[in-house]
Amino acid sequence: MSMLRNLREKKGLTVSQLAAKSSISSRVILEYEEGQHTISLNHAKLLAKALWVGIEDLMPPAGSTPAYTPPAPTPGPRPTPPPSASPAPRPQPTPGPGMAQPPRTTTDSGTHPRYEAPRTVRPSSSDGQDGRNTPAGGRVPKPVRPAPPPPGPITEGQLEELQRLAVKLEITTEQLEERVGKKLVELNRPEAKDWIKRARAMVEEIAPSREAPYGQWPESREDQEAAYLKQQQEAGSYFVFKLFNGEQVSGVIADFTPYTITIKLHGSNDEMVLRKLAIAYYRRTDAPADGSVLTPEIAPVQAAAEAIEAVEAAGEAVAPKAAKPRAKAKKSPADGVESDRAGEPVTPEMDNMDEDRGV
Amino acid sequence: MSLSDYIKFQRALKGGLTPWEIAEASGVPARDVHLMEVKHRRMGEDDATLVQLASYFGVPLQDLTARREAYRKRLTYFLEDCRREPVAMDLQLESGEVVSGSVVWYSREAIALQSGEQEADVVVVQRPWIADWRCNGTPDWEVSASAATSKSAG
Repeated sequence: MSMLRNLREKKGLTVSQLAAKSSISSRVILEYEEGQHTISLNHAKLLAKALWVGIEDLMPPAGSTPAYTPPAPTPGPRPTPPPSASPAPRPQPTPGPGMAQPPRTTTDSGTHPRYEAPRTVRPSSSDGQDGRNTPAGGRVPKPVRPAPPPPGPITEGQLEELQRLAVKLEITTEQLEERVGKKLVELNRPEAKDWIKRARAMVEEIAPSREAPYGQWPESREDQEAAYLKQQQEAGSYFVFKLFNGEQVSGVIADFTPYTITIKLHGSNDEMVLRKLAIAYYRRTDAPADGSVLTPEIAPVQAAAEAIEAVEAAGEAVAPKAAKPRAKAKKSPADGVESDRAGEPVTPEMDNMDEDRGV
Repeated sequence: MSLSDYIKFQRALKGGLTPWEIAEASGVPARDVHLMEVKHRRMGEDDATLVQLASYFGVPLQDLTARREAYRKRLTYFLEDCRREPVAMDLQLESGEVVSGSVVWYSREAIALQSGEQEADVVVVQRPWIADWRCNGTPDWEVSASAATSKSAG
């Protein structure tokens, strides 16, 4: 039986379990066990790790055929062999089934060089035994890790926080201590931390915090206005828009962007693009059945036209989409308002995408 | 309204000026105008900048400095409270008009109030046009009252 199978069975693992633990396929493991192939260095490492043994443990006992032959040690100081040991070099085992070939070098019958993994030389102790765990053999035993210190007492901050939470829970400190099972000052840090967490949860349950984390405001989560406009556009709702100059226009929402709302004017096929900047507010209302207008004195198209004229005079806050008959603006709200754009020739509408431009 | 909204309001009154045009004409860097208008944080509100802007818009400096106390989140907190309670609120617009109702939703740019009994009776107010606000039935307007209090305390 190969060393690999021996170790596997000793650990109570099936081939498939070992395969799962070592990430080597069951077929390959079986081939190793049956001696069909030599165990490669990488696989030897994986198998040793999976079986919780050293790579050298995959080697067969002295005199038998090893399952794995580690590469030759790199040149370095080799401890003097013990006097009782034979001065003759250790005989190399003969390759056999289930045993790896000895590492080859470029001088070895002209074949390709084989990778030699770096290997630490384990010095032997003076009694000829393996030098593991023997200070005399040069290996320093691993120091025992000291036990973690016991948790410290409750901090002043934790105590204050618990008292503050007790006030929020509308109970006295004594009542809280009764609930905790001991005095607060006798708590240690992890216990205090745990109780602070519990008390905060209780406080939150009683009175949910009004504070919303940054970036969680409804206004920043989603564009509620866009959702509303979409809904109303689909419903074909009729709206009255109050513009900054006091004029009103009304119609059905035809389209909208973050900065504009296009409406289809009531009683005509004309569309008008309103910049949101020019809108004070808008209100949903019932469409006039007879085509009359909201403001009794002015017809909707005329009102819209006047609004356009007024706004254009102030500098294109409202831009008409389609040509339409326009009444001459009698008085512009921009009259008397100092504007470096007032009176300029009509220029293409400047979009208001400044927020997206990242100045 | 906040300084941010006030700048937008002034832009609208000036016929839809862009921040670049304001920057060019007032001497305030476009970046500062942009930050004041867009950022939630209270940035670029130093006196020197506000003096330049007040001069450009042709408004008293007090009109701008008073906006420091009407920062955007102050209204947002108020809206959130009204929405959770829920209680009706009044919005005073720059025109002096008062719009009342309960908060349906609010976004960065607009606030929707249900003004009537029917669900569809919704009025959407653009933030730059809001001058002040209060709970429905309360005599004092939030910003004006706090400004008066701080003035008397000072």
